[in-house]
Amino acid sequence: MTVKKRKYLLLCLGLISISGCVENFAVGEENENLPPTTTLANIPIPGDTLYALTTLAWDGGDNDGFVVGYDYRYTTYPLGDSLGSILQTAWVRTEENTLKISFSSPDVINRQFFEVRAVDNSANVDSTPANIEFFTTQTRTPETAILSPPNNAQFFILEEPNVWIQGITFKFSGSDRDGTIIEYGWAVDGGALQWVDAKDTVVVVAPSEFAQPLTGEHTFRVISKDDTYLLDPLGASIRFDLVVPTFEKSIMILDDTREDWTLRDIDDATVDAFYEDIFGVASIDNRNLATRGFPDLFRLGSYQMVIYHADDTKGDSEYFNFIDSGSQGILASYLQVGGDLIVIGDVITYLSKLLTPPVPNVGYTRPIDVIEDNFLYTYMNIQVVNLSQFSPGTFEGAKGVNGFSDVALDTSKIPMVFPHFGLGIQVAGIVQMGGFTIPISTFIGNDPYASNLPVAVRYYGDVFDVAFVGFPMWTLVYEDAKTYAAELLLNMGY
Amino acid sequence: MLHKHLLVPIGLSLVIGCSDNFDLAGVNSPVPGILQVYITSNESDRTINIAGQTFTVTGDSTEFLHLVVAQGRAYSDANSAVLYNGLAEYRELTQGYNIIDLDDDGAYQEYLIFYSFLPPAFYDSLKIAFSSDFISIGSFQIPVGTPADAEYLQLFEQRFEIQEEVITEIHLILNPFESLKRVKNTYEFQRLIFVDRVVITAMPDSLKQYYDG
Repeated sequence: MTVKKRKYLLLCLGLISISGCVENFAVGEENENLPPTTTLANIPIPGDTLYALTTLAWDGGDNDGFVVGYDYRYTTYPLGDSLGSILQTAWVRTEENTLKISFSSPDVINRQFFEVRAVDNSANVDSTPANIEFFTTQTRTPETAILSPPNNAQFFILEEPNVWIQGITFKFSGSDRDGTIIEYGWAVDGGALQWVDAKDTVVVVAPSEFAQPLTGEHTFRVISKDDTYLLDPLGASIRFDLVVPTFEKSIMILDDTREDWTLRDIDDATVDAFYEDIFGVASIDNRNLATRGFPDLFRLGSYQMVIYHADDTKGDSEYFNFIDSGSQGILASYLQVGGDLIVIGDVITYLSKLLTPPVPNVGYTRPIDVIEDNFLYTYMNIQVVNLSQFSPGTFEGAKGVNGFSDVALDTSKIPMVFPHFGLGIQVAGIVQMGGFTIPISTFIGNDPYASNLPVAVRYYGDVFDVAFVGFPMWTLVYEDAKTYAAELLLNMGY
Repeated sequence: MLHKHLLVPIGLSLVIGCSDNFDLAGVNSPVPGILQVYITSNESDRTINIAGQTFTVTGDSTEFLHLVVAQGRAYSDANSAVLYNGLAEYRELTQGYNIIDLDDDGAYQEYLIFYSFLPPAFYDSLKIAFSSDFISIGSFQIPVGTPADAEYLQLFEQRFEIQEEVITEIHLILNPFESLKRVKNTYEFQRLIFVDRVVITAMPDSLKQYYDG
């Protein structure tokens, strides 16, 4: 056979065989989809007694497809004295192969029957789920406490926050005897719970979160959630008052002066009349702190300005209201919402707790640093001071600067005996002031520490204004005191 | 086989040929150019209101807004060059300037803050660390800080060319008082600084001493 003929024969045979294959190809019936299979990991060991929060693992396989997820559920049989109702959860879908599951464990001992089944890509489920049985001990609910503020507290607040006050701060904590706290849920005025992570134990609640009207009684409640998702059934709650200042009245005088031998035993009424006269404002209330205590916020917030004065001179006197951190906190919040303040007297001398290091009445080194972030530093902007000498007194008066007049001491009002010997003692010369603060008077007198230093300053705030007069105005010559008081009020817009 | 008496002339030709006079024609290292960065305050920003009082810059010696200039960088794509305060300087120095000081004509002083050789190239930006810590005006002395979220190096996107033996001046302008934003008892320095102009001038021969051999 020639080559040409051989090739022609092969071509024909090939064509014949191909056409024969195509014609005889038949498709059979589709096989039914096979369900997937499921297996559980070998831990925990069946029959073990475990904590209610337990990790389980599983796997699945599918011969004619692939596993897309798993359904799991569990049934709880309380076995203790209460013999509570059997609880079965609904099937829960997951794509995970392992989960930490919190098993409901209402009784002292509870039997748990856990099932899991694979689901394949045809939505077919394993009809024989894998299962395991074990026991869980009773879980206890967590407990919650509010650390601050105390019940029945009062707070100033504004409808809109400002840079000084963004809201009311609440601090709380929780404990769980058989686990850990994972979240806190808090709410004000019966509103919906807001959940925060367990490490957030301080929240600042903005004014907009409270029910209207803002002025009045409000509540704060907090509960905790533990790692078995149990909630504190009681929680902790407090009631408190919010006060939006009205500033409908002009000036309140807070009299913290103790009329004693340092003022030559003048009576309280005389000093009260003196201050009312020199400040000469029509609407003025004079409140004696020794007899009536600090005013509540409803009263305080009705005044645009507070004038605080303490004219007597003693060593490190604990009775001064101004020393009390609670009183300072009230004044600080009053300023934060827009109140103005004049502080009169050599109060710095007695605020040893505000100085660094804390100093006794005599024998301290100078200059003295004021502790940062306290009232003196933050709101009066006084940072470093040199106290004038203790004895004999050296303060004769003050030279006015930046538009203020000179003032002289009325020596007839000063004790002629130790430690004064007729002149003022321990007036704070201000070495360093904070921003937006200017001197308005400087020390007159031959003193080794405070001569020529500012002894009165004026702070121009963005929300509030403060003036500090570091010497007792009662001890001034009357005409000088009256002029100076008028200048203070005019300068502060009153 | 190479006849041995040919080795000498061959070796000689190799030695003579391998002289040190080879010159890659057309491939020379460029000589540098100079970048000068100036800053001055905006003449239209001369007043500040503090606590209801308006203060205008008068040139008094007590008027002081402290501008602190630290690091500077010039960027050409991803490459950067360090900027120095002088042509002979090799350290990055932090300098302070009274940015509201006035010159003899009563205009804001202009300060040369960077004066540095740079390789010739096209550059596309500068980054400079500006800050402030203090202002004194009128009776007030107020601390100044930088906003917490501010980048340390401030970006100035400005395309400029450094050419061989040419001085490129970049003039920055600052709005000194508009840059101050009060926060409680301090000011925050908002760094309102912009590129005003770019000026090209020839390099005087006296500066070539720094790089001529």
